[in-house]
Amino acid sequence: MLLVLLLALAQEEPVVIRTAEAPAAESFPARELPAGEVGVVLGAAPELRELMAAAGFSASPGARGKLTFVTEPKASGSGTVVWVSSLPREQTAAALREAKGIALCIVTGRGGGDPEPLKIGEAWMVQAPGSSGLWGRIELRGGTVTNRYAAPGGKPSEKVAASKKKLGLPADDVDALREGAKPGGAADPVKSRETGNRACRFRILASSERAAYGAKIPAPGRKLLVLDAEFENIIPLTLIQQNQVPTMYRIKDLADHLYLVVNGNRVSRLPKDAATLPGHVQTVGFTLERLGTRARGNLVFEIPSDGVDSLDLRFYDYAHGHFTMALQPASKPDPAKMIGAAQQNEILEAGLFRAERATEVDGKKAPDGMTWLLVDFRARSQMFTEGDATAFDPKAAPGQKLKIGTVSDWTDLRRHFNVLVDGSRSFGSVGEPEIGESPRFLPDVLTGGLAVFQVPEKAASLELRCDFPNAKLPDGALVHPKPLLFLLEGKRPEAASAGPAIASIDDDIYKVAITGQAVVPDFAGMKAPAGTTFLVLDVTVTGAGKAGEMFQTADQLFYATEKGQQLPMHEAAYKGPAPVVKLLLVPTGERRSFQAVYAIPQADKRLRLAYRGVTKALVVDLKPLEEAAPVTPARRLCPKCKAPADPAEKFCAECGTKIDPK
Amino acid sequence: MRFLLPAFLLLAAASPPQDPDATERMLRVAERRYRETPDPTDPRGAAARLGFDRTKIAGFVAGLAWEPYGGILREAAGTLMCGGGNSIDRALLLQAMLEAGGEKTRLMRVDVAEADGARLLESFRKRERKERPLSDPKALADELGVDPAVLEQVVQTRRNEEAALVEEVVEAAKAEAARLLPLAGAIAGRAAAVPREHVFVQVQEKAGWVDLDPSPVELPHATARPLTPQEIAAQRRSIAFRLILNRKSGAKTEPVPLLSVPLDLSAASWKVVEFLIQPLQGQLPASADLKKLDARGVVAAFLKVKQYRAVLIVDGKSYGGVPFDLDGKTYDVDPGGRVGPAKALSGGLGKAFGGAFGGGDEAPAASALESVVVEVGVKEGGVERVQRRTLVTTPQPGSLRALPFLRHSYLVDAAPLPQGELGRRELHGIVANAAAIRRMVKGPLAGIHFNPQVDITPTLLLYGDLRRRALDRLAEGSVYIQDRVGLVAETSQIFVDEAAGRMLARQGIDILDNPGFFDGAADRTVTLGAAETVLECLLVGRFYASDARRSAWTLMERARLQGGKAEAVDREGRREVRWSADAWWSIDPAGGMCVGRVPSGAGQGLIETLIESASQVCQYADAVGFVSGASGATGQQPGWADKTTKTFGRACGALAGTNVRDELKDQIDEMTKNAWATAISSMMGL
Repeated sequence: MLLVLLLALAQEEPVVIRTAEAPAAESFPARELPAGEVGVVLGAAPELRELMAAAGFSASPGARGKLTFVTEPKASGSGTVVWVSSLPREQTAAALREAKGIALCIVTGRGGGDPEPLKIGEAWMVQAPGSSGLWGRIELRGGTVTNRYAAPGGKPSEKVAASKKKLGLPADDVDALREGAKPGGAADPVKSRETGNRACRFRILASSERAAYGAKIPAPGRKLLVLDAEFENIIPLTLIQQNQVPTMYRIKDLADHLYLVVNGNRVSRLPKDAATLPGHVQTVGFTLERLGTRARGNLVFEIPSDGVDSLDLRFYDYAHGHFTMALQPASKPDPAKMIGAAQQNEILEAGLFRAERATEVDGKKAPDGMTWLLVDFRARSQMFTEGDATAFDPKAAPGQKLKIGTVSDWTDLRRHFNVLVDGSRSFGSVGEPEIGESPRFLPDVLTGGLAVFQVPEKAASLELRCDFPNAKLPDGALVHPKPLLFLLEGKRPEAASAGPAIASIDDDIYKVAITGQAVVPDFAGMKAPAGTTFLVLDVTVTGAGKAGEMFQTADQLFYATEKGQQLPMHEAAYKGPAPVVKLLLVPTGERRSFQAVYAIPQADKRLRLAYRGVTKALVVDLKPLEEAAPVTPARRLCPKCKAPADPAEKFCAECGTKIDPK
Repeated sequence: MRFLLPAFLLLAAASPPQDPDATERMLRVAERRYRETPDPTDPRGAAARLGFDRTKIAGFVAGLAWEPYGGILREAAGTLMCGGGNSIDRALLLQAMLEAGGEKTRLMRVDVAEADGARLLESFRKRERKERPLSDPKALADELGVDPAVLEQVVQTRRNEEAALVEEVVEAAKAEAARLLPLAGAIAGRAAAVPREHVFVQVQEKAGWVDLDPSPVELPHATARPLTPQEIAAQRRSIAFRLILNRKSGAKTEPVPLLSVPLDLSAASWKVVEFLIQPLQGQLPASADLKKLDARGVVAAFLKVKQYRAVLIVDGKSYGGVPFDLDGKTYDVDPGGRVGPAKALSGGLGKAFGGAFGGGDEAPAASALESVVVEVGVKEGGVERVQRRTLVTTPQPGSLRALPFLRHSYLVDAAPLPQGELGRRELHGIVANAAAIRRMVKGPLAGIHFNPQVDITPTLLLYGDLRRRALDRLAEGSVYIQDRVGLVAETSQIFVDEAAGRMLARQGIDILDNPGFFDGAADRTVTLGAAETVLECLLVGRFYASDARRSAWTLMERARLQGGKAEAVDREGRREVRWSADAWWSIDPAGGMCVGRVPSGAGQGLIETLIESASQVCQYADAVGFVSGASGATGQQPGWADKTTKTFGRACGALAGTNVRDELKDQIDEMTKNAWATAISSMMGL
């Protein structure tokens, strides 16, 4: 009987039954079944009956088209009998094994999830879609029964929408939400603190300002900026399927590539002891092994405790491109303007942004006769390297090279950064210069710092002189950069015509002249030690070498006592108006003057200076003191030309006249 | 049919945007909320929020749960995300947080007396578990500029749907457990192990090392000693992904390793892990050309593909395998990425690991591919547990032919997915693809680039979230302990039905290892295993509603409903209960961990989708595009996956795997709508 029925069905159009189960009014779609499809709903709440009916679903037994829906397995009807079971699947299956005349049984799919029809006895058992919100689609065609679940389909239905509205619900809650949304009013998109170049993605996840980082304490007046940062290798694989050799991203020392620029004009670098700081990003041998490798850790920078307006992180990568990140944008433009014109040489372009005298610095007064001089020096690197243009310009042709600015170091700054008074007296900076002892200059930002000098109150001229040691350019060439000179005050006086020197020494690369001499009981506020008196010598050193040379004042000039001892300079020498610096740079052709001070025995009348030089070591006589007992016979004069002559000399050295030995 | 797609594209490009301003506002809110939500896997961020204050950090870690399991399972990030861990995981978290502040630290180890261990366990059992309060929809409505009542309703509807699913799963699992337990025989209830050692942190100060112990129970430190790096390494777990090609030469079967990537567990836990096998460059026509072919032409094109290669992507890092073909031959790859001639059998096997640059001189011998097997091995305490799945076997006449053209996305976890993670990670997907969504809404459509790989797949996340909720419902006061690594995969693979001339995509969820148990309650553990198997089946049904499915769950029920008789057997230390040979419950008698299995070894809910034609954009793109998804991590796109496929294949993947089968215009609207729904539920779940 059933077989005949199914054969008959095979000749006809398929019968489509749509199933829904335990529908929720809120999520029920405003769609209705197309004509010809029969909807059956299981487990619908009574209050949803109207909504279901509007969509074409019914839970009621009875004939619908060629189908008769029954709610009991023993019930019968015309056409194809479909039992809509309210029993669990196990019980339904047991009942089906006994049932007769049931062609199809629709049973709950709750906890089942199996859409495939199952033959039990004579009937096909098909699960409804459970609480999935999907609709089942049972197709009866000939002897076959298929079923699948799918997202609700059918045409949009005003009827269903009206029915939902009656229940106080929109036709589609997400659509209603979107349609009712007011545009605008949203905050600006949040900018992520992420940047990078073609090889490395860089993110700042957090930043904090701290008074200490573990055991690390910043310098007075400074604090620590700790950036929680992440680097990621993003160098793509050459070919996705084949290439398995990823490209490593490696930096010898991160501290040579990553800088923090404070207020647009001060550079802060990663600490030298970064490797020992717990939680710090590895700086030396920094490596991101392969695409996707990330390195996370802290980056610690020292910044001023106060007055920080802007913070920019700058990363220089000459192979893959630089990147910068504004951690704190400037609230105002930098008020400082460059004084005068910038000066430049092979490695730096520099300018002064402040140069002024002050009587007090940090509450400290300058000694009598002296003032403070504050100089804000900034520079940028003029060094270039050659790199791949595509790293910096996406439109560059492959293989094209580009000159890329690179950083430059000014090593041993303290010896090379001086104020010249009257063109000859050199004054180094006082205390720790803000710029550091070996400042690094970036290629694209003028950075530097404040330096403080102690200079005489009265001076004909003040100049800032920047000398440089030999520098190696990126191409390997060695250069001696020319000095940079900034006239701060007055005009450099002409070199005074040198009167007769008390003593002079020609040491090849230096010419040393003692141009003045005095014996005083005290000097620069210091009294000579008991039994001694201060001998003050005016010394001028003139550079005569090929390049500037360092004159080692304390190690090259000594006082030679009458008893043959050699005395070093007294500390008062470092505190006078023309103080001694231990290492005095004397550029070629330049004069440098200072006052050498010695505490000499009071009894000494015959004064001598011991010189330990480059090419010679000798003792030269100074002007003896008046009370000195004659050691040698008094000098005689040539009877003809009146030139002085030693007692032992028989002929005048000037005119050759014979001198009477008596 | 082949002209339809360009026509749809034109139509879509010309159609006015639906609600670009409102969507823009939604995206901005999503971006802001995502960025402002602290990353719960970030110990450094957590330390920053505590001002790097040592006392506060120690207090914070002390406030987290202590849990009884051995070795390092969660590491610092996982312990923070899960809100607890054993003493070494908590110590690692404390150490990471302190080091973020620049403190120098070290780990200390001390033996725990039995009585102290019992006290620790007692504190664990008595600990109150707090549910996070739900977010207030009013604030979100204000930000979005939408009607709060409608928003509340949308949110409530989604919550009701999810709650209904959890209820359905729990109900079905309880019913199944009631059937299963009498059949399974004696199953020992496994109790939490009493800890034998304890690890804490010391911080260096000028005067010396200072103890910081966040233990919930005070423990003596007198005999403590520093843990050496080797001892710490020995406590770590590792995971290895391997691909093995078994080939036959004469009577001999030779296993050839194609890929082997061992990783520290922390590199894969809760990270994006994608395993793909795809045709080599040039083996498959460009998708634009594929679309011009009829169904049989497409089948022929796929069958022509001879060479394949695997790639594993772990948290954005790619690892390439040795290329192979369907005859069982392997190929060299030179450093430039070029594939060389086939290698001789037994030639250079030792060089195959991670890439072979040698060999190839000998002429390749005749061989036949027997199978391609993927292995996931988890090493814990020096012992490796290996899960194997056979991906490809020698084709049998009349059967579907599996192609080595597949994608497995893994969820590797060390604890149930914490509350809020689903929302946070889904929102991550939206935010990471915000630029593409903007372009999709506002145009132009050309060049839209979606990246669905920014986080774990939505299917796996939802599985993880619902599993936790089911677990909470089943616990009823008992405590759950996860002491092993959990492994679940979302799988997609292409099959060919040569007889019918059609292509199929088989998609599903595969529970490789269910790793936890209820303390001393085997019956609950069995129920949880059943719940996981029901969940994988029901989720697959919802994600890929389509034509046919085969899961262990449905196969077992079908057998039962058809009058199959129950049978229980012991095999390889597991107890198997079955009603037919098609599927069975595999139960660990020492604890009750159980999972439904099918003969391939998988415990999977699967679905087969017919790849009918190019007009079904998402469906087709799923088939081709899912394998091209690797580009998200590698920045490269296979040549055969053109822009159209990329855009919509990825879009479908990005937005919760939605299959939209209408015209493109409708698809865009549907995707935008899905973006709204996903973003709202995600933001409410944060």
